[in-house]
Amino acid sequence: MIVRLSGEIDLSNAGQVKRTIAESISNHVMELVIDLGEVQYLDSAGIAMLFDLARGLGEHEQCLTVVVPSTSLIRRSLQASGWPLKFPMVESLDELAE
Amino acid sequence: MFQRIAQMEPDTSDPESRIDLTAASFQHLQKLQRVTDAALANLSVDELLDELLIRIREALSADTAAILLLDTMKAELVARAAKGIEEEVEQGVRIPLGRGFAGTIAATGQPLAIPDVDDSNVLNPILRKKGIRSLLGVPLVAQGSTIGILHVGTLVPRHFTEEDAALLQLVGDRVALAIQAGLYERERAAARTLQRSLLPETLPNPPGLRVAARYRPARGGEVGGDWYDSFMLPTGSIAVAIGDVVGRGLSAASSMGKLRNALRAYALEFPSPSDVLERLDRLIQIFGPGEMATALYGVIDPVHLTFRFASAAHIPPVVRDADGSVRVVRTATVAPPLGAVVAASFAENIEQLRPGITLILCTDGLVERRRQSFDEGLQRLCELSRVKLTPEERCDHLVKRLTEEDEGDDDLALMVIDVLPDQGDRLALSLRAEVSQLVVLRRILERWLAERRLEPRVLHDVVAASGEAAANAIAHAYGLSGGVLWVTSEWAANEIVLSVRDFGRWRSPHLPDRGRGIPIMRALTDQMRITRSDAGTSVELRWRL
Repeated sequence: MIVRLSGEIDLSNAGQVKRTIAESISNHVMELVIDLGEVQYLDSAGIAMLFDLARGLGEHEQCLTVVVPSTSLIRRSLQASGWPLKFPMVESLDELAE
Repeated sequence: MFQRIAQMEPDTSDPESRIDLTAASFQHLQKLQRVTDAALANLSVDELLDELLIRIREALSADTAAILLLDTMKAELVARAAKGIEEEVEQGVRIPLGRGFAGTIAATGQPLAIPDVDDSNVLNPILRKKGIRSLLGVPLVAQGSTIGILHVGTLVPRHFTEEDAALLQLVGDRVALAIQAGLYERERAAARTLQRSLLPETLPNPPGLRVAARYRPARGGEVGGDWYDSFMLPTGSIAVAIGDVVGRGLSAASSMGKLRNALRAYALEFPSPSDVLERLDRLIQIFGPGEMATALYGVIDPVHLTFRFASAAHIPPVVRDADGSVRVVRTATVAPPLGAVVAASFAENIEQLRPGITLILCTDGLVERRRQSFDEGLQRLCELSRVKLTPEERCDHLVKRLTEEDEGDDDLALMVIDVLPDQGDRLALSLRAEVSQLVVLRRILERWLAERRLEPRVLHDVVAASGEAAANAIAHAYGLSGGVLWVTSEWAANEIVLSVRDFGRWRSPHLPDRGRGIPIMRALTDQMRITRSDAGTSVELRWRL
């Protein structure tokens, strides 16, 4: 299942974004892909939200991968947060097929 | 059997004929006239009706007196006030128009007397139960139409005379006037209250803009369907709207309210002004036949200062440039009013604003005058706008000067938006420590950096690192009572120094993962320094350019 986010995610709306995603994931989704290609802004609250989702899914043996293009401005924030050390991050949807 | 009462009007073909009143009745008449004239000024409608019923019952030596009003929607008469037969009001009896004694008077608009009350000629169970034997009734007429009836009754059989009927009709006329005046005043007061509650009293003063607005009802205080609105969208852009619903009074004000609220909802959902007007157009078609409005809706981008707008046959925007020259923003096409055409579309226009510019939006009540054409009025508005004034001053100035010679028959709305000059190399702002302010901070910083030709990566880093510092402070510095953040930033040839300062005693984050803000700030800046004390925390960020 692919979720495409766009716009800005910060402390004011990270909670709502998480709830909306969580509500649309059923038990049968083995892999959730969140495409951040069109996200212009993502702060630590948004990243914490991604960590929460990943951990929650992990407890149900479901997997979360984020898609962040190499040109994306939010890439370095995600790297600095340590995401790639713990959870999958790819540069495009094509990479997932491999 | 009904006894017909002779015509009330004197026969004008015969100058000698008149309704003969006995001396006693004339005295009563004078008394009544004195009471009603003085009472209109001082009593409330209810007090007046009460007073009149007491006096007419006395003057006619009757046992009961009552006023019934016509409910036009249901074609029924409802008791409004009664003396000697209060149950009529209390029990909410309703008499269908055209049926029975009261119904017949109301339907024919003619007075009637019943010397012998029985089941066949009186419908009202209360009248019969009371033991009323005779009745006399007259229609209440206001502005040519019957609004109800006034009747008196006796417990002993009585033969009512022409004089009695004349007296009753006179009182009936006063009653009708009083009720009409009371209804009108109530409706106007209701419309005024509705208008005032719908128009925002304070407008947002978003960063980089100064907004002021005015609404004025038509001459005589009657409200219409004009409105203005301004609010911030979730992206930090500022929406502005102005409109004019066709019509007057409570119904126009109420349609205006629905449109204004619907516009806010559509504005959140549709970024394009064209789409918003299209939705409003579809909506107003449902209000009813003939419902129409002109409207202008636009969005100001606070970073690039573009004004994207769409108009439904509304007065074009007027722009005053920083040098004082004023022009009308003409659009390539003119769309129809909302509700006028099926499946209409509304073209989007873009106007580039600049610091120091003033944007003026108004309704035709400001510029349409009896002795001048619409174009002349708009021209006058432009001339009067050349002077340099604050938005509040400009609103007062324009309304005063454009309505001083001729108040006009229409209500008017006016909105003035100033684009503030840029902050220069040193930015200083104070924000409430609330999450809703994070988007405001982003837009302010982006505007401040807009024309400095930074690499997109550096621009993002400045905005993101500042956002982290601000979000941290918002989350940890203050409790529920809140507080402020100070953000200052200095631009020099070779570096940017930005600081985010709060004045709270920090709570340390209690979940280990939540401390990601600091590694992110470190990654996005060339230098980061955090200074903590009991008086607050200061985060200083530097970028070398």
